Amino acid sequence: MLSLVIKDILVQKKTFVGALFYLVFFVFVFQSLEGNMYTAAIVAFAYLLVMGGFAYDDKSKSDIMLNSLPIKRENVVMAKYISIFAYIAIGTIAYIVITFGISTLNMYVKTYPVTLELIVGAVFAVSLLNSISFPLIFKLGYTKARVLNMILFISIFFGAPLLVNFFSKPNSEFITAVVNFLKNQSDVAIASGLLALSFLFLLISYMISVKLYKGRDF
Amino acid sequence: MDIVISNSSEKPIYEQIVSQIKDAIIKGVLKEAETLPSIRSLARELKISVITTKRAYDELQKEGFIVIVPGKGTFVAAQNKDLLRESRIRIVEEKLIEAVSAAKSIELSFDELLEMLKLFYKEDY
Amino acid sequence: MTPILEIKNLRKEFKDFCLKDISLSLERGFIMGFIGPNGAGKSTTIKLILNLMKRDSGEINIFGKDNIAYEREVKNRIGFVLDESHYYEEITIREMKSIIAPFYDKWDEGIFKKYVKEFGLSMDKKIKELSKGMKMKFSLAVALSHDAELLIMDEPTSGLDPVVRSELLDILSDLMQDENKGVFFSTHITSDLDKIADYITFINNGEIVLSTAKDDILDNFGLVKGAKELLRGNDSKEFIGIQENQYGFEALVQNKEEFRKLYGDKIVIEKPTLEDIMVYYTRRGINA
Repeated sequence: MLSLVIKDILVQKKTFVGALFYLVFFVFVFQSLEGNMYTAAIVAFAYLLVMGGFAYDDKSKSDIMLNSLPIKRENVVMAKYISIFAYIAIGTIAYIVITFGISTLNMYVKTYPVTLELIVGAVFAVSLLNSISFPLIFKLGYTKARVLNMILFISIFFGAPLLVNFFSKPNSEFITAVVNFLKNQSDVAIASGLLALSFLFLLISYMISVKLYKGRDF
Repeated sequence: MDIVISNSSEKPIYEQIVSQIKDAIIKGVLKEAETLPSIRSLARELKISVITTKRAYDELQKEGFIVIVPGKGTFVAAQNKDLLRESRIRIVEEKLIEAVSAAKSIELSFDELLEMLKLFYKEDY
Repeated sequence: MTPILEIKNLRKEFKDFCLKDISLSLERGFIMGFIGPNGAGKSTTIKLILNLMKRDSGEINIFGKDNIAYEREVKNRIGFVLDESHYYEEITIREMKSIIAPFYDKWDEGIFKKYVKEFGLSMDKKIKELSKGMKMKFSLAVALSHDAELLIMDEPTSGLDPVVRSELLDILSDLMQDENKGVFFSTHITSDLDKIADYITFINNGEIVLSTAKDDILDNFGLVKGAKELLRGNDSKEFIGIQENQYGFEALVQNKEEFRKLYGDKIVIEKPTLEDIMVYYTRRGINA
C-alpha cells in the first residue's frame, strides 16, 4: 500500500516541480494573508498533487491493473488518503526551506514562520476539502468528478470568507454563544478540536469512498 | 528418432505419431528400453497439444510397444521377438517384391537378379 | 483433481448485452483458448474472473476457491496479461516494477531480471517508449515472476506481428512443461491456438457455443463443399453457417465421418481451422 503512495509521487515528478513553484508564488502574492499564506499555499500544493495523482490514474486506466493485483480495494482507497498527509508534510518542509531561502536572501518580501497552529489549520482545511471531493472521485472517476470538484473548490475558496463573516456578525443568540464558547477555549483545545474534526471527516469520507469504490465495475 | 507430422493430412495427428513411432520400433531405429521424450516435451517440440501426445502414447502402450512408468519416464517395451521378427520379415518381403517388379520392368533375368543379390549380400550393408 | 479454473453458470447483465450461463472448466497442465468474435464477451468474462466487475450470479472458482471470498490469495497466484497496458506511461520499467512487486508474496527479482534480459527490455526505459510488443513482454515478465500457477491473458497478441506472436507461443510452451500450471488465453487470432491449445471454448453473443478438446474439434468437424441441391436434403439443418455462391455451397458440419458416409463422392470434405469454426458459427448466428 505504501508503494501506491510512492507511485503517486513517482508518476508526478514534473507536477511536483510545478507545485514547488506554486509555493514560491504563494509567498510572494499572498502577502496580505500573513501567516495564513502558509495554509493557503499548503491547501493548493496538496490539492494539486492529490488531483494530479488521480488524473494520472484516470489517464492510464490504472484501476484495471491495480485491481487485478492481489490488493484490497480498501487499500487502494487508503493509499490516497495517506498521500494527503504525505503532501502536507512534503509541502511544509518545502515551504520552510523556501521561506528560509527567501529571508536569507533578504528580498523585499515578508515571510512568516510556520507554527503548529498553522499546521493544524492546514490539516483541517485540506482534510475538509478532500473529504468531500474524494468520494466523488472514487465513484465517478477523476475526469467526471472534476467539474464538481472545481465548483467545490471555488465555492470553498470564496465561501470561506463569507462564512467567517457570518460567524463574526451573528444574528442568533445560539451562534453568538457557540462562537463565544469557542473563543474562550485554549489554543490547545481548539487545535485538538480541529484535529479531531479533521480525523472524523476523513474517516467518514473514507468509509463512503470504500463503499463506492468497491461497487464499481471497471 | 524423427517424427514429422502433417497438419493438413486427413489422418489425425495422434495416429501419425503412433504409426511413426511404431515403425521406428519395428525397424529397430528405436531399441528396447530406449527412453522416449515425455509427452510434454514432445508436445513442445512438435508444437501440438499435450492431449495429442498423451493419446498417442496411451495407444502405443495399449498395443504393447511402449511402457510408461510414472515418475521414471517412457520406454520402448521389450518387444515380442517373434511378432517383431514377423513384421520385419514382412518388410523384407515388401522390398523383394519391389526389386522383382523393378527387375521385370527392365527385363532383367532371374539369374542376373540372383547374381546381384549374392554380390550385395557379401557387402557390409 | 480440482480444476485450476472453473466457471459455473456465470451471468452478467448490461444495458444492451448479456453474458448468460457461462460454464467452463480447465484442469492444471493445459492451455485453454477462449475464442470468439469481437464483442462476444471474452473480455467481460476475464474481468469477471479477476473481479474487476461484479457478477450477477454464478460461480467462479480458482484453485478450488471462490474468486471473491479468497480474492487476494487467489490473485497472488495468478499472472495476468491484459490487452492494453494500463501502466503509467511516464515512469520506467524499473519504477513500474517497484510499484507492483511488493504486492506479490512470491516475487522473484532474479527471475524478473532474467525475463527482462531474455525479452530484450531495458529497465530504465520509460513505458511510453515501449512498442506494443515490448509492453506485452513487460506484462508477461511481471506475470511470470511471482511463481504464478494460472496465467490469464486477454488478447495478448492483438496488434502484434507474427514474429512476436510466435515468440509468445514458445514461451507458453516452455511454461507448460510444468504440469501444475494452466493458461487461459482469450483471442480472436485463432491461428495462434490451432497449434498450441489443448482445449477450446468458443463464445458468441454472450453464450458458450462449445467447450472441448481442440483435437476433438479439428478431427471431427469438417468443412463440406458441394452442389446446392444437397441443401434441400433432410440433413440441411446439420450444416452450420451455410455460404452459397454461384456454383455451390460451403458449410461446417460437426461429424464429418457421418457426412462422408452419406454423401460420399458428392461432397468434398476438408479439415477446418479454428478460424473456420468461429466464422461459420458466427455466420449461423447472424443468419438464424
